Amino acid sequence: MMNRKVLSLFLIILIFLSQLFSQDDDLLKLVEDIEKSGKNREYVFATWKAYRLGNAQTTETVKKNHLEYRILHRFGNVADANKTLNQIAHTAFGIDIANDIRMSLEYGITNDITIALGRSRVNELVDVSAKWRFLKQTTDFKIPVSIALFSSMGYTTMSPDRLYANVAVKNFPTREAHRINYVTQVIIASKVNSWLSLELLPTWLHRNFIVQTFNPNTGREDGNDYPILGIAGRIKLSHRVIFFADYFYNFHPYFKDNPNVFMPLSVGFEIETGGHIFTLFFANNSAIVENNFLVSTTDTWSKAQIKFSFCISRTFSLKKE
Amino acid sequence: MIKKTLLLFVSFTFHLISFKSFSQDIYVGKEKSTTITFLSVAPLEKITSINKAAIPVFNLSTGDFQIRIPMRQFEFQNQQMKEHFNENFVESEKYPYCVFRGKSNITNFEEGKEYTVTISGIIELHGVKKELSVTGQVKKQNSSLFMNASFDIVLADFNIEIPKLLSDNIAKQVKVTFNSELVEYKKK
Repeated sequence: MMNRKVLSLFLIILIFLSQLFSQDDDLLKLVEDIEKSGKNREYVFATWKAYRLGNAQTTETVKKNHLEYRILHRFGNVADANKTLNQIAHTAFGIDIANDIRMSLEYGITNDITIALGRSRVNELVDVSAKWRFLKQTTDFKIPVSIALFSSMGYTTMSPDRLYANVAVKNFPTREAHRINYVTQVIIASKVNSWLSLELLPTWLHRNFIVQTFNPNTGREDGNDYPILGIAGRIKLSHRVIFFADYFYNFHPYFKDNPNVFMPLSVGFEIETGGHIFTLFFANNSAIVENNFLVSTTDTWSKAQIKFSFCISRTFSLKKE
Repeated sequence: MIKKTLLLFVSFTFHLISFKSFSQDIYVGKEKSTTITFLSVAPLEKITSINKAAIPVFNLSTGDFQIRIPMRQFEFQNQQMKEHFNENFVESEKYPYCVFRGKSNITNFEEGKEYTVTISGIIELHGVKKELSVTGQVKKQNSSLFMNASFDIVLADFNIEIPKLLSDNIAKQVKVTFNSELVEYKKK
């Protein structure tokens, strides 16, 4: 009997104690339900740091009422298996050569729609483009990807002599439309986690005018339209430094086994210093803008024909609050 | 046997009583009544931000005051600033919340009176825990608790680095304000 009393007393004390301790419990548990019910869908931010990686567009846009100014420079070949070391050294390993120079302005109409105007040295190309991110990834992965549509029109201002330079017999009239080409891209990106982002870029390129060319190995003729798939990824090394790579594969039969044209690949780093983003990378393509490099990449990594390239971008807020 | 049943009954009653007192003395932030702002004044730029997503909890029987602030819910003048704030400064993917757990020096509030209250405890921000003591006003009106306070936070204390290039744009020390109406917690 005595034993039981002690036991019961012990039980009561135990319950009391548990009560005391439960009062010290995490108060925030009480509001967790309220927090959850009031929570709206959260969108992923900063899948990429910049409007573009090396060659590939990203799903990032320029924010509303912000203007971005970008200067891109592509130097000459750092090395080249077809040339002697001496020849390369005479160009200071490509530093003396400006393969392409591009300046562009991007303006955010809304947080998801950006329009841009650029001018490149290669083909004296002026391009106007728009990017519209119409689907945004959510943090809970209910929407696992962000999707943007990118469309660009390139217009070359070359003189007719240069424009028709490789035409054997010019038995057709000169047309303004011959100067124009189009790139349309669907950019499907996913921020897998805080340090890894990946994207696919199904691309269609159309040129109004091409010079008849054959693949010397297979005899396949070049075409006006190219179906292309781009793939890109980034790894965040720190919150200011990013490592990235992007690659474009051209499905047109003209590109298969062609010793003259190659697929562009770029590998490099993005460094953010607050306001500015520096992109430093290596690429085998000479041209910077997709309207050019998706067509005319004649150098390859396998022959070490890679070029150093950089981009400096600066964003300005146009609307003062 | 009877004794045992009685004892069990008594202990059960205690359980109920203590539970009742527990829920009555707890106040939680009324929906959308809590605002947390911060202000950074630097030579070139003045940045303000507001967060309305936090819900404080105040237990008057123990004096415990706790709040968890979702960092992603700070809104800025523009989206660019919000992104930089989350991505480069507070790293909200790694540290999604700022949590403060403290104890109040006053726990009895009479209706209609204003009290100057100090709540001291630990704040965890950007993964760094630090002691924080905040003095503010608490007023009980229509059985709601109205709380407000303001205090300064030194960003370097929480390993939030401001790059040299931006030292004229972002202050080293930001002013934080807190405003909330708390109502009695009702268990659903």
